[in-house]
Amino acid sequence: MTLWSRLRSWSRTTLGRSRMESDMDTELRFHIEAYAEDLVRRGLPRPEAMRCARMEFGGIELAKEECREARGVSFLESLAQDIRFGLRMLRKSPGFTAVAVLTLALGIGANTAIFSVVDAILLQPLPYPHADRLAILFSSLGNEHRAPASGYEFKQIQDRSRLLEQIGGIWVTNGTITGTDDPQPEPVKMARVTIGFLSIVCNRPALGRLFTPQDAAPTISIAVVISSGLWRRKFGADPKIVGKLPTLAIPP
Amino acid sequence: MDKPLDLLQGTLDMLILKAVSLGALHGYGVLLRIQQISKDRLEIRQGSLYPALYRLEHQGWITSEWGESENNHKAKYYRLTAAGKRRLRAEADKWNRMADFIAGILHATPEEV
Repeated sequence: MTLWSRLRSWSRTTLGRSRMESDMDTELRFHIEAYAEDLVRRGLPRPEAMRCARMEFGGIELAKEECREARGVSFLESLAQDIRFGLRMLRKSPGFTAVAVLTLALGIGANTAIFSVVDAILLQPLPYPHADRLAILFSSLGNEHRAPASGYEFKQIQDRSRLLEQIGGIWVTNGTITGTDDPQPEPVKMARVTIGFLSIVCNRPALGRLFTPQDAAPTISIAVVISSGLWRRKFGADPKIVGKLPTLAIPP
Repeated sequence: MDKPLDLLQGTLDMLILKAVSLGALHGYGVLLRIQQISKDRLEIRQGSLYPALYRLEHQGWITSEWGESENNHKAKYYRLTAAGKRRLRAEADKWNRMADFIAGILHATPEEV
């Protein structure tokens, strides 16, 4: 079958549908009337004859349905019929519809929420280089509580673990920072980290440098790496900030 | 009169082809002609007649056009096509062979086995 004849056949069954329906009606009505007339000729009163003819014909709707099928009614058409029927049934019982829609909405909503969490936490790789080789170690108190590892513990792990290529420590705290652009101190999350920590999760900083062993010298020196967001927000994205120490308030 | 026989599965199509091969007929006419030829010994469900007609038309064995009935009603008349003629011959052949075959089996005597 060529594409053209297929299209023609499809358009005939789809567009000619109402025509086909009315033809079918006429044809079946003719059958029943002709039969009834024969019965009348045999002496039956007319109403009785009509009733009898209709009864002997059997289910007219069923016959019509079978005729449509025999004609090879298109898939699209039967789909449209099913959809129309479904909508009609839904309109008939608004209570059921409301419950069904609500159930679906809740189900879809809950699934979307769970999926976005699972996706962010489990499925999407972390936005760091070698994300598949990163791991977090926690120190535990022997019960279900986690504890910050001490510097001594960290040193032990760093020296003795043969499982990990590099290891960095981070101790998170809250503090405030005062920018040059905006004199208002802003509470921020800050952390003390070991020298190697940032180079594990960052190839190179946008400006300046990451920590080096000199930063860990026993002389009192403070080196800070700030996020790009904070740099834009508090320091007006000033490129000359490299080398200057911002005003920090860090709890001991 | 004997109780009418139910139609064997798959034979309705062949009977319809035969009925319209004798001249164009509307659906009710097909029913009447089959009953007339079979001398009312075959029972055809009227509801199953039209799906069969539509199927045969869809397959191209018969074709239809609207016309006037004996009592001036609009009626759809079915006619056998050339393909339908070949089909009828093939079906009749098959049926006759099958009937001979079955009859042969039913007439078998102990000596032949």
